[in-house]
Amino acid sequence: MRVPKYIPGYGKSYALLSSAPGADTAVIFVHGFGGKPTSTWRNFQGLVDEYSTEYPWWATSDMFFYAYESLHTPIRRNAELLGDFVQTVWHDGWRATNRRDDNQNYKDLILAGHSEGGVVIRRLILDRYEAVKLAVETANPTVDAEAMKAALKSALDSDFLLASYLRLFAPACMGTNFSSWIGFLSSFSLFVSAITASSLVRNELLPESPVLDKLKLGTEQAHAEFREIRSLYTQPLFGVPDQVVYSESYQGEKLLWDRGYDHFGVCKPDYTHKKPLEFVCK
Amino acid sequence: MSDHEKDRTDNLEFFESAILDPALKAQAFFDFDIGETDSTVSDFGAIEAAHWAWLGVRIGYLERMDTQELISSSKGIFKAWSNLQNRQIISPEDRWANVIQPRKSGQLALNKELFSPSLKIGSKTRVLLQNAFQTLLLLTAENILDDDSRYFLDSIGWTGNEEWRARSEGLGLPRRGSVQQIGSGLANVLNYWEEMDSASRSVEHADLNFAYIPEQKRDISVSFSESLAPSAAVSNFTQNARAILSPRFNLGKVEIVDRYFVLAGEFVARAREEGPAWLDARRRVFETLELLILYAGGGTNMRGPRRRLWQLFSKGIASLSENDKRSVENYLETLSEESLEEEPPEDLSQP
Repeated sequence: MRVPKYIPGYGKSYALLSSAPGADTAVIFVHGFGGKPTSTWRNFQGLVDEYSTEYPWWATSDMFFYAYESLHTPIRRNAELLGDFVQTVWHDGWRATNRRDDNQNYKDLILAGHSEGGVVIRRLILDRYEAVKLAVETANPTVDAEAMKAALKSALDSDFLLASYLRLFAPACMGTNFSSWIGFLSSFSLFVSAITASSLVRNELLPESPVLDKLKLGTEQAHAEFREIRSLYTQPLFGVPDQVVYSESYQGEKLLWDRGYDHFGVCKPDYTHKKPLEFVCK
Repeated sequence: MSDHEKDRTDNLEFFESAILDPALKAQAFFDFDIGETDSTVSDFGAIEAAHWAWLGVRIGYLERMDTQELISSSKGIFKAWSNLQNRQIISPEDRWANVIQPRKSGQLALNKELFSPSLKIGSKTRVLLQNAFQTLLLLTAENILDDDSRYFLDSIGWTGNEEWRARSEGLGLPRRGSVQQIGSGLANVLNYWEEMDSASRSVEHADLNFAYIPEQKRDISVSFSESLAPSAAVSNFTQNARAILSPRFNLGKVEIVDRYFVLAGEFVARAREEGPAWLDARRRVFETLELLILYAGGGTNMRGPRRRLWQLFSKGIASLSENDKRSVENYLETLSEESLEEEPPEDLSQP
């Protein structure tokens, strides 16, 4: 059984490390608006090992449950903070005295997000894309367009974050239905959280929000330009019915459905609902 | 060190960082005797930590001797016990309190007799329980041990009506806390109940090999189970977890339960929309709250007319008619064993 280890400097974020030698994948779980690491993702923690015969990649995956303040902190700031966490995990910078025995880096990164967590993840990816692009353009001010594209491609291809797999459950990327609270009432605790949240953050998650618009536009443009960058494209999984977020995604992205599970149930595996275990994969 | 020993050392380290340390820090922070700034809930938290340790030993998640040593050396637990006893909130005769016992000298000590592993649990069941136990600790750590939850629970469960109104409605100038913390704490507590109940049902379901079982209401009473019957290991475990977490909420008092229904009703009213969808959603929230309070506090406190709770929820305390107020007073006065018999469900469609 995996035993949780809190990650210093990141509040209630914790890791569940694989006991297999040479874990090659880091899976980072990012909860949504008003969520919490265990409450949102409950049962992933225990079931991944129980079902490792059916879903063998979990046996060599380390799991990281990220905790963050989702009700009062703007999306852009949360994307920065998540980026810091991802760097710490990827470079194994949190285990001062207990570093991995095999001294190997991870080969793959999976970012699993729920609701607002999906927005924060996509913003992190776009920030990274724009940062790499700016760095390459600044370093090569005089090269022609073709050489620039080649330099960019090389830099983007070698970035671990841009090569990550995005697995988004009911992402709020196309907006949240804050105009009607009825959907929220199916989880009364979340409803109370939403009422007490900062109206600024709520507004950021509205369908017409400039924060969501810019993210959509930027991601779609980047994907059109560099289609091979894995993290710029995903196929989100939505519960049916979901009355909290709009079940829609970016241009060309196929939607997957999980009938019978609502906004909150879609990301919770249990003995009779294994789809989430199957969905978070490479 | 064998793998098994290493696992149990890691488990104890996790228990300490998730539950014991935060509980002791909160207890120490509030442990100064200047009246209104004390925190009953922080004292409960410290003693709960001893209970969780006990349950962990019982299912073999924690090693007995090391755990006893850790708890015995945690002075805040004993101070918390004294505080609650001095305020006559617990007494040494209570089962919940007897995880700590006064010696003849008057000094307090851990009740080590309780700390025996239940050896008869089969290995498959043991794994199931240990996984569930770890989940319950994580849920407790992330929902209940933070400042907002503590402030909310101290306010709703352990203050008089005037102080509660001041804190929940932003009246007067309370010395600490905010109305926003009341909302945030309520959200945490509801989430905690939902998740703890659901995690418990999940392990119970797995124990029955996923046979179909109708969703059942929890027992009316919340009490520890001392049974060692292997066949009842899972139900004993979930029953004990419920018994551990329950006292901090003080839901044995009718007026505290009422506060939850009034507060929840006020929040639901903010979602008001014209039409049947909202009316149905409101009723579902009411029924969910009933079940959660049953889980966390038992049902003896909800035996009054259900219509009254619905009225509190849908219209607030001010809405009670003089007749209803009188009937509540009469009900409270005449509350006796006879009156605790189950009432047939009432029709809620005519509030």
